[in-house]
Amino acid sequence: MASAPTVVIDFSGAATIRHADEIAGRLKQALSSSDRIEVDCTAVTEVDIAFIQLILAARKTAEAAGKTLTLSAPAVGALLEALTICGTQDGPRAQFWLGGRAA
Amino acid sequence: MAAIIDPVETFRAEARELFEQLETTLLDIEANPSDKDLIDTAFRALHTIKGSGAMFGFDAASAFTHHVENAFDLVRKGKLSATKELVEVALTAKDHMRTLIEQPEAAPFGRSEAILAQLAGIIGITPDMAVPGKNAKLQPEPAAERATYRIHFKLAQNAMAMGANPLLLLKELRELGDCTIITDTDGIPALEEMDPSGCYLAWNALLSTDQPASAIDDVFMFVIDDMELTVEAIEPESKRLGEILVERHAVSADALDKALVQQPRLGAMLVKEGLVSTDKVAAALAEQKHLKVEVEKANKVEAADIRVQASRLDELMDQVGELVIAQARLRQLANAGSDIHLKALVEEIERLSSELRDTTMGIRMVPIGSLFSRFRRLVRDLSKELGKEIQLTTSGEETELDKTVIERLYDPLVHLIRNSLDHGIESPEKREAHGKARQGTIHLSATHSGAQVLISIKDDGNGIDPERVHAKAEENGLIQPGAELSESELFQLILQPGFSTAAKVTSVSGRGVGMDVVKRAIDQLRGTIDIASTLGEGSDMTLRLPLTLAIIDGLLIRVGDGRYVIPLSAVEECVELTAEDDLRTTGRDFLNIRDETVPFLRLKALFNIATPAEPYQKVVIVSTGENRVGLVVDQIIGDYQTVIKSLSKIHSSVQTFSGATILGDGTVALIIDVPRLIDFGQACEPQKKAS
Repeated sequence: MASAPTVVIDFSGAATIRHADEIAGRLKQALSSSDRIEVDCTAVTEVDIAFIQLILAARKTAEAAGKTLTLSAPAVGALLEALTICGTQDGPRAQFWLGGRAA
Repeated sequence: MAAIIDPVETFRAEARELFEQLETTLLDIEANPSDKDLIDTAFRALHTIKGSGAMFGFDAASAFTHHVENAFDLVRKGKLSATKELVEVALTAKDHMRTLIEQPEAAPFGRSEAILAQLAGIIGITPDMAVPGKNAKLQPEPAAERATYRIHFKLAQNAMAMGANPLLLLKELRELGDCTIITDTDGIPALEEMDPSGCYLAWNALLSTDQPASAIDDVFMFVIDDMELTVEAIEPESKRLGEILVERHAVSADALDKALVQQPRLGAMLVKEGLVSTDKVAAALAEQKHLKVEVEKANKVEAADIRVQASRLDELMDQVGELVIAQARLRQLANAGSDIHLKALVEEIERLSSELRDTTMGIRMVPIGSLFSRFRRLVRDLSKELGKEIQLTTSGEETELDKTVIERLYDPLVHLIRNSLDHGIESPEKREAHGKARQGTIHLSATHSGAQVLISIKDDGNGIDPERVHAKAEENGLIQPGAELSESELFQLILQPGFSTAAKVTSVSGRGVGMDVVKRAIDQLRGTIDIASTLGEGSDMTLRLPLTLAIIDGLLIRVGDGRYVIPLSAVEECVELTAEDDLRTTGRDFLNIRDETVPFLRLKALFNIATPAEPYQKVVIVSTGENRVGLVVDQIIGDYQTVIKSLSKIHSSVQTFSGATILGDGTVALIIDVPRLIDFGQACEPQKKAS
């Protein structure tokens, strides 16, 4: 793995479909600038499916390019609630959302 | 005795189970006041008690239960929270309902009103005291038809842009019943190709609900255009992962068969082979889990069982025992001859009868969990009374034991748990002073160990002080002053009659009775008690019990012409009684075994058998825990596993034998009750000395 510095992007407040284009833009930019991306969602207060989809898509893109994209901390608050409703807590993705860096 | 089944008795038996279930659930609610499942379970139990109570004419009980049920209905609807106070009243109410059903005439006057007033105080409204009487549903109404649906849905790609919120849909779906949802992320494209506001995820859901299927359609009512939605009802049965995947069209049956050849982890294999995505397997796995839970629930609801009188099971066991014996005789006969066909048939019958024996024994087995759960209330109430904070944890509830053993274990376990609560675990203040958590723990566990079951009662209290036991034992004359004893020997003294180390006598225990009663009860179950303890850290009492009382491992011996069985668990060793020993000890009846004097009893004399003395007598050394005693017999035939048959009523005054068995040749052998036989022998001793 290249030793390029980890890029941390943080989202805060409402991370919903209304900001989908902006979120997508920031994720794309981060992916093009580094091999290691950390997403900090701890300050997010509102989450919908659009946001979850974008993170998953970014992760898929990162994996395809041999890069890593992780959450800086296990999901909490609004994000955790949304994930729970989706039933993401079972299965292989649980590690990604809930394992975070702590695991 | 062809008992006519009294429907009221059947109802009472059923109600007893419901009460037990209710109590467990209430205690669970106390720990998890927000668990919706528990509240539902409590509500359902109350509802059934009310309904069937009315059906069997327990109007008072039914009317009373009606109000408690209402309270839980409010909790269920989120209008009332399950506070400690509510649980407390509900527990009291439960006890009262039980009285109303078991002994309606014994219910104290005005008690119903008092409890209901308390309940009303908590709910905050006055219950209308109208008796539901005629209006009450006369059937013990089952929950509405419960069905499980497999739902797959994917919204139109532009749905979210149009304002749909999948999270809300999922939430609504979850509210319909027990729902397992798995997100299928296979549709997610790479970031560059993605429309940030498009909808790419799909969902698989398993929903078990009492609601009609139309309720599911209602959820999707506003997004139904352009969406993929399949809803199919499925039978909740435990399926294999592969079957589910094929049923879901996630993988073809052919590909599955191929992968199956390469067991063991099917899911991982299929993913690796690229036949199916991780998400699909995850969804199928989740379905498997959901269905399993559902099947278990269904089994619990129907309980899929028949109530059978225990006496019928005993009868069955008896007959199976006789069959096994008859089969043994048949084998002897067949082996004596040379008919090959007969021999083959005998082998077949042998296999069948031993399977039949195992199955019959299995029928009598019940998980010990039902016993454990009865102690939760005890611990809760007693720790309150004693001002201590104690939690009861359990493990190994699924361990199975003969029903009779379980029933007879209740009293001794109550004694042991009380002892732990009272003497073992310290007060919260004292615990804190010793650097322990305020809350003490009593752990009840059960495990299988060969043909035995180990039940342990472990606490993290103060433990037993060996020095105090020693001092007390000296004081009571149980041991010589200054006697050196190992710790385990010392702890065994606690089981002696009249022994209590507690300085303080409380209402709970410490009256000097108890442990010896426990010991006697466990002895009768052919079990033993081991005591381990570390001062300051806690103690551990382990009961070792045979799996069943119906079968015994014994040592078959002969005295004169009669044959007897000594329970093998009591036998320590066998030695020869040489002719000179025999002569030398006449009138003294002590034997020197490795520098230890062991008294012995001559069974021939004890049983008044008048055959001439035989040249090679043997001594079977048996132990009753504290005493070692030799039993002089004429011949040791060997070990023998056998079905115990109880003695008839006419022989109930015969104390020295606990039962009888039929041997392979059809003759009867009596089973010796070792402790009783020794008591009997000791009682005879003074007479002998006097003469």
